[in-house]
Amino acid sequence: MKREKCWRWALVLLVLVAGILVLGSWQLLGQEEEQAEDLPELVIYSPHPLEFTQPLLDEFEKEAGVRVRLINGGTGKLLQRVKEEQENPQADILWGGSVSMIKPDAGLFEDYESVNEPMMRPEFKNREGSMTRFTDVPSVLLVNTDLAGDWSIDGYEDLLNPRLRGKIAMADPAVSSSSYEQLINMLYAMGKGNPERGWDYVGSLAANLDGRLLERSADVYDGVARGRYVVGCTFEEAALTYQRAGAPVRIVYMKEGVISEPDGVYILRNAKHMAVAKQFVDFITGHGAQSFIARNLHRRSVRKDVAAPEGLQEKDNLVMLSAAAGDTGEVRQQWLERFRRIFHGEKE
Amino acid sequence: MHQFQDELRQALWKYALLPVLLLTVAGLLLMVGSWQHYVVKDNARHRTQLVSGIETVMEDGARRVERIGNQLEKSPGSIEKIQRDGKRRAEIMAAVYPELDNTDAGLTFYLLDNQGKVVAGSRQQLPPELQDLSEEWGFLQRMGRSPAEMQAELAGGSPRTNRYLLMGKAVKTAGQVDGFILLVLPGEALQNRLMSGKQDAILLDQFDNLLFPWSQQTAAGKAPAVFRHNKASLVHYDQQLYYATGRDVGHGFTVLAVTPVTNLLSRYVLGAALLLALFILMVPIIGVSVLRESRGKAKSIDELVEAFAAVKTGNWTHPLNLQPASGLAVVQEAYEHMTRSLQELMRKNEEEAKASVISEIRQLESQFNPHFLFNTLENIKFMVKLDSDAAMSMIKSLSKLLRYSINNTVRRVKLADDLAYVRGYMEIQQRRFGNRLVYQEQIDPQSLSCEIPKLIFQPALENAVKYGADAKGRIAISLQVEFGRDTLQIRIQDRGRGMDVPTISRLQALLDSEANDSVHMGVYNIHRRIRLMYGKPYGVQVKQREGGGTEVLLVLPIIWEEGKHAETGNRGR
Repeated sequence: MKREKCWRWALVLLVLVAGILVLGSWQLLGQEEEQAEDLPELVIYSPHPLEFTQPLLDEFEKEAGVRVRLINGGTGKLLQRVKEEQENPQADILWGGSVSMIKPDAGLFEDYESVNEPMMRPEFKNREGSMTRFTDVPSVLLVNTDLAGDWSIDGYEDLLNPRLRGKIAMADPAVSSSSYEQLINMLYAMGKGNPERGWDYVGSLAANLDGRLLERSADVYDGVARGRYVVGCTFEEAALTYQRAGAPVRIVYMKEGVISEPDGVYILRNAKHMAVAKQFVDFITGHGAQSFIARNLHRRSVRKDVAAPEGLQEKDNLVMLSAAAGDTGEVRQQWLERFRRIFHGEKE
Repeated sequence: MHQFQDELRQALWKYALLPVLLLTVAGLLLMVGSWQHYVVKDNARHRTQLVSGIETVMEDGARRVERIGNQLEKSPGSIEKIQRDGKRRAEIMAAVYPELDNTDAGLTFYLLDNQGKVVAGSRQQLPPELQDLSEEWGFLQRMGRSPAEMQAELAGGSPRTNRYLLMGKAVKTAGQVDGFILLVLPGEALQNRLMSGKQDAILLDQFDNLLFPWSQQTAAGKAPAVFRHNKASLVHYDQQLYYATGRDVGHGFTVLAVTPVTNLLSRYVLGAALLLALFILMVPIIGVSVLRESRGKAKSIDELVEAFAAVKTGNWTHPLNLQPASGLAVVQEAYEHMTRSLQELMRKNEEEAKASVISEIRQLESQFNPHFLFNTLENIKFMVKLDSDAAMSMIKSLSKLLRYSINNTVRRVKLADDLAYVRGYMEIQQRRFGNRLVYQEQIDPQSLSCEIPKLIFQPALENAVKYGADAKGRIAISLQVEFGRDTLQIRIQDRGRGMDVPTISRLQALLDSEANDSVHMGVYNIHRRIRLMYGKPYGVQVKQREGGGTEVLLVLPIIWEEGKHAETGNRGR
């Protein structure tokens, strides 16, 4: 009996030991955050390409001592996310999206006047309170010089040339803010200040698109640079980037008039890292960042004291227009719907 | 019975489950052991390697920067001088270049003015991604802010290509920043040196930016946050499992050694699942076999108990069928042997009982000797004419004899009664033989109340009369009854020619052997009767007398008439 008891105890002990060992190694699995020092975080939604954002964010991180998490996506989609996550925002900043596209939803964003506001050009002041301008992005046409040859493409009118049928790159204005800007530009430029009259032109253009409407802004300038399209409706920065890179492209400022629409950097209401978000807004509108952008990232600064990127014409030399409408939600809805109908060939 | 079954079952369970449990434990230990060895140790080794590699680079960089700084500080305003003055440039650079001997392949060195312009260095221009350094942008700012120590950070590059590791220090003269010393190491160079085997080498800065690309990097080119936070544990990312350990290597950099363990773990899980399946399979199998075995054995025991219970009640023919080839086969054999022996014994007893009955019947038969009756009647016929009185008394005696002997209901009688018969018999014989027959008695008076079997010495007397004549034809018969120590001894003696020694001994042997002999049936019968009734020490002995003649000795137990037995020497039946 005694020996039996001994055995039983030994067995129990053995099983216990094995169990503890296994549990011990399972501990590793369960080991969660050993938070040492942890840096403040910032979460940014941005449609800007990584090549654009990386040097800026790198510098911001090091200067501010903040760890940034960037989530990339199309403006429309990101805006949708912001709307859906209103109650519990997952991001702190929406960095990108033209002011006219975001303005209808200005209520989603926090009012903040950045420290750099006094240095902003007058047309780029934060009139709405929650829409700090970031860069100035004129709409332009990008022309593939190899394919265009001798054709003169100087403005919107030239896009109606039948020889260009199906060879025009334009993104869906419903998802691309730069494309929406182009739409507004067309309406005002071809309507001679009255957008209502511009719809005839848009109809003709839509026909000449031959059913092609691209998903993303990138597809536009990319497509032109690669020779899939002869001309694209895009924005200056992209065009300049490709031109600087040596692609066979030429920037055309529409002779009928150019609308230069700024994009912005917006703080989400009830953002989790509010203080850091404000820090970011100040940084990205600061002289250092804006100069860097102008020097290296081919965009025009919104600041008075930063010159236009090298090689670009100052706007004084161009026909500039300004859009009075198109930036309210209602109008935007109407216009997008109208464009959709026209494009799909439905009767007005 | 149940206890036996339970105990058996328990024992079987224990010894069947034991190996399975031990196997499980061994398996677990093996798993833990192999994890420790293949994952933890290997990872640690790799990490240590990485750490030392990076630390070497950084320490080396720091040393060079320090020494170059010292050289430059020897003459204040060096950087400006280098720019302006060719001779000074040669002097200063001559002092500086030795510090750059034996640099790693890929490491480039620059001296920058306070605007970030290259004054001197391995190349005339900074790498394109780093060219935009200014006071208000980039590394220079940070170097300027902490001029006392070397700064290091990751810079340049795009998410999918290598970044640069920058190490540098501001050069100050009289509290003013003159310029900067900058060492630039492209990630590729370091990567080539550090990469080994199947493990990923990862260098992160404090913002999770990677020095060189990593297969698990996020779209934005950073290390996934989970790896940052769990510096020494299992990380679940993108449906794979990794074992990651990290070490700080200064300047906010972390080295991560990441070992993919999904395969290993899935193998463990498979092994554990197999073990579990085996376990689950074995348990019912063991259970069933255990039950079957124990029931089988217990059944045998039950049958044994049943058989012996039957034996107890007197039924020896109950069959016992134990499972063949069980250890209980021996018991089965023994049981059968026992029952057989019992059956044999019973048969023998039956036989003996029968034999005694037969012998009694014979006795009865011999009692009624037809010869004696015939002779006596002849004599009576003879006497009737000669001596009618004598004939009358002979008839009377005969009828008394017959009456006595016919009465079958009594088996045991008083000695006195039997003696009366004997006297009657001898009287008749005396009338026949006349003077030739002499009969004597010597009877212990106490013995008259002893109980003896009826007509027990009648045959002996008959024999004496028949064969006890001497040479002259005279028959002298004496009957003696006396007590032995605890026996009753009855002697019938004659003075006849007797039997010769061989015959005597043959006869005695015959009596001893208990075999039947028709010639001496009478004496044999007496012997048998006594033996059957009283057992071994009692019986008949036949002897030769010294002076000639035969003695027949009957040895009987002393039984008093009321059934009281003598104290010793009695084997009752």
